[in-house]
Amino acid sequence: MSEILPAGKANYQETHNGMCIQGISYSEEDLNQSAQVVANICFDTRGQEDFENYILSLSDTGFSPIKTILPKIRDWQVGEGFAEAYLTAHFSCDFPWSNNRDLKNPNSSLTGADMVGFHQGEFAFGEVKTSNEQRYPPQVTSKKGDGLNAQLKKLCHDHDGRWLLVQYLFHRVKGTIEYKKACIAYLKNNHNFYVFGVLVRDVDIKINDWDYLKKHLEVHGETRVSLVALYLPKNDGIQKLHAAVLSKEAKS
Amino acid sequence: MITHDTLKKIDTHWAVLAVGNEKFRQSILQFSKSKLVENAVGEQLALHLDDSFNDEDALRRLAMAYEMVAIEGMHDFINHTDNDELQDQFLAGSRRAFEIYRVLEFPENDELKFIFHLLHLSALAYCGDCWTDLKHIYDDYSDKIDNLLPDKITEWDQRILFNLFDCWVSLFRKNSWQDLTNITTAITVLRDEQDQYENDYLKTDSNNESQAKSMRLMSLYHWAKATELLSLYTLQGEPADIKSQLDRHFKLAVKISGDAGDAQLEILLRWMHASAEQMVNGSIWWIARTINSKATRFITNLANQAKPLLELLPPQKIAVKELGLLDPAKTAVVVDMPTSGGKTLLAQFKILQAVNNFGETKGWIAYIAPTKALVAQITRRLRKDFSPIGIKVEKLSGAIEIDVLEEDLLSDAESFDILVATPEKMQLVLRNHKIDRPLSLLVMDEAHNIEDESRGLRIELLLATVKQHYQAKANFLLLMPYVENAKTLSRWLAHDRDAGLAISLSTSPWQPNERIIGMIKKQVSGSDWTINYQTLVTSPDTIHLKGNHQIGETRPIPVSQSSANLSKIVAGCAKVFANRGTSIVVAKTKPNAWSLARVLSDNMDDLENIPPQILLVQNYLKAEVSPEFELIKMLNKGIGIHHGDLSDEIKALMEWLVEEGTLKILCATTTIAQGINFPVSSIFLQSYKISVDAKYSRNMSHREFWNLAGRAGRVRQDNIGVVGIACDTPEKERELIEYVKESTGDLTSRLIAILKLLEERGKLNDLESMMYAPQWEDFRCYIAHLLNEKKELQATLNEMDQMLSNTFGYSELKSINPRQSEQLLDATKKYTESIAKNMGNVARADMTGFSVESVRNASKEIDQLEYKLITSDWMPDSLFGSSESKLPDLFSVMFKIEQLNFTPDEEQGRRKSRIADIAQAWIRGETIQDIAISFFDGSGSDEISKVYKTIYGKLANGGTWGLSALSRISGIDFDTLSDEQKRQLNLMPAMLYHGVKSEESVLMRMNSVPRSFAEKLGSKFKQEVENRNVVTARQYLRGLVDSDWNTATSHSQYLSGKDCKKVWQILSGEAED
Repeated sequence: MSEILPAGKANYQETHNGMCIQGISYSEEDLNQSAQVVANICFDTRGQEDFENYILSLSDTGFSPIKTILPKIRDWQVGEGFAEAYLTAHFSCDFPWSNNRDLKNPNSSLTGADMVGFHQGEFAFGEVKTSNEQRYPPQVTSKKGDGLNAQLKKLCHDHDGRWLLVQYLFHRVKGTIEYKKACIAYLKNNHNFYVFGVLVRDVDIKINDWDYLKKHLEVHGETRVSLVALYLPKNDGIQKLHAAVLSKEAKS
Repeated sequence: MITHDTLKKIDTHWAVLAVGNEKFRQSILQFSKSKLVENAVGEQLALHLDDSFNDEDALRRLAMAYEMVAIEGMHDFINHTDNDELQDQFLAGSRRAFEIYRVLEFPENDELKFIFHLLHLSALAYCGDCWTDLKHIYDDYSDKIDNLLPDKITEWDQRILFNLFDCWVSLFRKNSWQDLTNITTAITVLRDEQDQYENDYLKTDSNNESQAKSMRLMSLYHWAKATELLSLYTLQGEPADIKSQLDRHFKLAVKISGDAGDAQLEILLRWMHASAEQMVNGSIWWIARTINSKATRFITNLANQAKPLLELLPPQKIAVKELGLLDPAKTAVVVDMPTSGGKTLLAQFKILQAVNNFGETKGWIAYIAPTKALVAQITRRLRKDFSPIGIKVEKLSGAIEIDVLEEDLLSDAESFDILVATPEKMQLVLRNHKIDRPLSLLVMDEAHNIEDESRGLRIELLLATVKQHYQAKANFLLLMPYVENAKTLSRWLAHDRDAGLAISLSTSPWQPNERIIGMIKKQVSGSDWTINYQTLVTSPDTIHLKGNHQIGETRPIPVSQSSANLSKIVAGCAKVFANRGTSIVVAKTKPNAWSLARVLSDNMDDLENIPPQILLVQNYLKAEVSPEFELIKMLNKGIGIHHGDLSDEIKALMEWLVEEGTLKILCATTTIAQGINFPVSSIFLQSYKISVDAKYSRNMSHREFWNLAGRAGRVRQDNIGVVGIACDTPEKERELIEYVKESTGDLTSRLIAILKLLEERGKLNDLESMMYAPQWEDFRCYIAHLLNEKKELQATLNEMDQMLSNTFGYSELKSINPRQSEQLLDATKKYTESIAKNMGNVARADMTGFSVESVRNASKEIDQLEYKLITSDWMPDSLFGSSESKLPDLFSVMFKIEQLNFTPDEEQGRRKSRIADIAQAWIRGETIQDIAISFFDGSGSDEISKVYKTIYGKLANGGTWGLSALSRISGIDFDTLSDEQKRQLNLMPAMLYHGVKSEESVLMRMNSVPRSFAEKLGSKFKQEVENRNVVTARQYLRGLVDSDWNTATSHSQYLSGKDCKKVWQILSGEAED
């Protein structure tokens, strides 16, 4: 079992208004090979335990305990794990803090980015959407509020939001040379960072997936925004990946 | 702690260097300062900067860089690690980041963003010790804050968040006890609402979302609990383990939000955690743990005031927590702190410590303030804060004699714990051992007066006296601004080498607010003129914005450009800036102050609604001075006057009006620099020179200048204080530029300064005869005192070296110029030998405060009178009420005694019968207006000033001192006098001082009753109370009801009983009912 995500097959590649766009497809075999890497990213064995302790800690606050259960892992989380594994393996990205993804709030406007890390000595921020919708482009790219376009736009242009992510990362990796290097580059010029938008799909491979973003997304600098579509086997690729990842969960 | 070094150090941090080279960063900082100035005073001052740099993006990056510096040390700060360097880095980084973030645009259109932004900014300010600057930000956005209505929000997480925001605004602002009490209520309400809102909020299709939302709530619940704990601690000092409890809740809140990937909440919570830590560090409760139970009661009292004091200013915190102000092993502490840094509170802590150490011996504390006004102000403050905890505070009058009522006070061990007085008065008390109890602590306020030309030596010798007589038990606390050699001073006063402590914070980076100091001059354009303002490079640092900026519009005072002289220029500045808060105009002379007030009065409109405070003062002036007094009309426009030729009461009321925020402009003279305790928004000086007399002027000392400039800008209100100095020639401009650049330098002894002068004039070899010059008068008095104490010449000579070593000057001289110290010792010994020939005169000198030469001179003059003075001549009835009064002759004697300072230029006052007549009219109770008409041919401001000058400048000082001293020199055998005669004799100077004619009225006046009503209230007091002294008089006044006050004021058409009571409350510092 490989610890690196397979490269997949390049299906299309172009640049458009400073954005690098590419589509990569994966076979079922590729998926099986990917399962462990993705599982490593997705699972947090301490999650459940911590969550229960958090609920118990409320007795000191005067508020009543909250009644919720820890959910199972979801498709979009597996998609994010796959995307992160891909960027790490094939864009030389490093996302040093990606644990506990299973607890993240997918809809909160206050959350940061799906991925925060480094790329070529600079900060890298990434957003991932998983969709099996048979529309091109899928609505996850255009949806107001938390669509991929809105999220990437925020990453490209919202100084304050980005600065939060830089700090967020700092509290987790402070003191590393990699962080310092990226931070210096960023403080020299706050356009010195990379943005990745990743679509995880199990539909026909079409570059039209990016039509909305090509039309609407204004980037912060030439070649600093990469849009990557990862095409899993058609129809049930996402489900299959999910099942494969879950099978790894049992083993870990 | 934040120091210049830590700030300098972070400038070389990798994050800061990443932004750009130093030149670039300087441009960014300059840009941020200009934005700050523009935001604060843009309406008054149009900036025309030389540097057009305006890169907002760079500004943001530099702010981020400093924040990065801070967060690198945040963990160490929160967890109190051993790494002090990183902790300091955290504080310094926060400060610098705040200084830039505060000028960046606020996200006003998005409520949630606004909340996060303001809390983040507040945290940076707090951690950077800039919380006093926050106040104006809250003021600017108060509408926005008030319009955020948490109760209207139904989304549960936001409802909590908005409520917590409200709570933290209260915690950061600390405006009122009620605000803080409301926090507990708000958190309790949130707990009650949990059932109502939580389920709906958590209802989603997705378990994941529900889970994430749950985590957000859990994080917020922990934050809410921490908030509640912090508010309780802020109010009551409990729980005692506050830090560990806060740590627990904040760490959980941070961890949970982090696990939920909620970056924004997590980062904010980290900053809130650090702020909470900092808030506890600065809390008065945290500080109080180091003192004693009395301090806890004192602090409870401070915390419960209408404007609660719950937190120390950064320099106060540093002084107590880090620099050992309360270390009991330090017997001499010298605190050098910026103006408005809160020195008085530090003195109060030290006093509490001393009171606690009184033990069985009933000790006392001497508190010395330089002026009568400050004595009154400090007494009011100490009494207000200390009387609830049973510490008694009394003050002595400014007269240089101790009258019988004061004798009563001093000899009664139960009457006071703290005694407040001027240096001259305290010197009499201490040299004559008037208090038979151990002196525990001597506090000297504005102790930099040690270098003052006319009083410095006296103050130094007062301290030397305490060292000589009381050192074994008495500790010292000297408070002063801008003194670089505080350490030398503390070492001088300390019992031994290690017992001195200098707390030097004047030049620390913390200042009450930022300041611009600049040159103001006329800019002519055709027939028009404008006021040009150029900021200057100063030491200590202030904001310097290169360029020519314009104050106000063209012709701010509507006169032609040729008539626009220095007065018009400063008046124009004050008029423009008055809209921002009280502006002080400092005139060179007292008549100038009046004429400036007139210019302003002619060019300003009446206030739309005259505030009740101004109406009260106007009524007081009508009753006490004259209904036509010019100041009354000026007050209609919000213009006040403050200078030496006004009564202490008027000055105190002017100060009160400034404190109440009702005066727009106060026209004053440089005397206002002497320790006024009311900060103002802007100060404009006609010149930085002080008129010594009609012909000569001298530069304000740098310390005086900075002490005055330091008042510009209000702690917690204005973020920029504005100071302007007028110039009208290129030469003056050059001088001014150099003047403000020079540092305040070391404090030097007058003794050394005088010797240096003699050396320069080549007269040092003739020191023995030079010692008879007026500037040596205080020194000669001191020597007479030493001799009188020893009683024996040889013993005095033997110990002279050791005794002189108690002075700052001689002790310094011995190490820096041994030869000169020997010369001084020799000359002093010779002088001692010469005065020892008549020990009677030495004793009389010590008793009266006169020099031996003055005693000799006075005796000679008295002997030359055509008659021999007898006891009855000295009785008040005879002296002040009879046509046979000897007062004119006594004044003729006093005129010849230089020490009494009846300056020869006083043509009118030199006429002995005239000044005696004025004295009699004053004691008879004639109004100021009547005295002005009778003796100065009119009742205009000039004439009224002359009356006050005669009364307060002559009668109350030289007059009372002279009469008291002459009565003791005149040959009366005190032993043969009856008790009543002694009492009458000793009362006489007090009557002259207060302008009343009975003992009971004096007691009323000593307790701040306006003179017009003192006789009536005094006689009522006499009828109703048997045991009459200062303390019972105050108790009596406190117990009076409105009808009593009405009776006392029934003869006045201007001041009602209620008004009179209010004035009494203001002047005496009595709390309102």
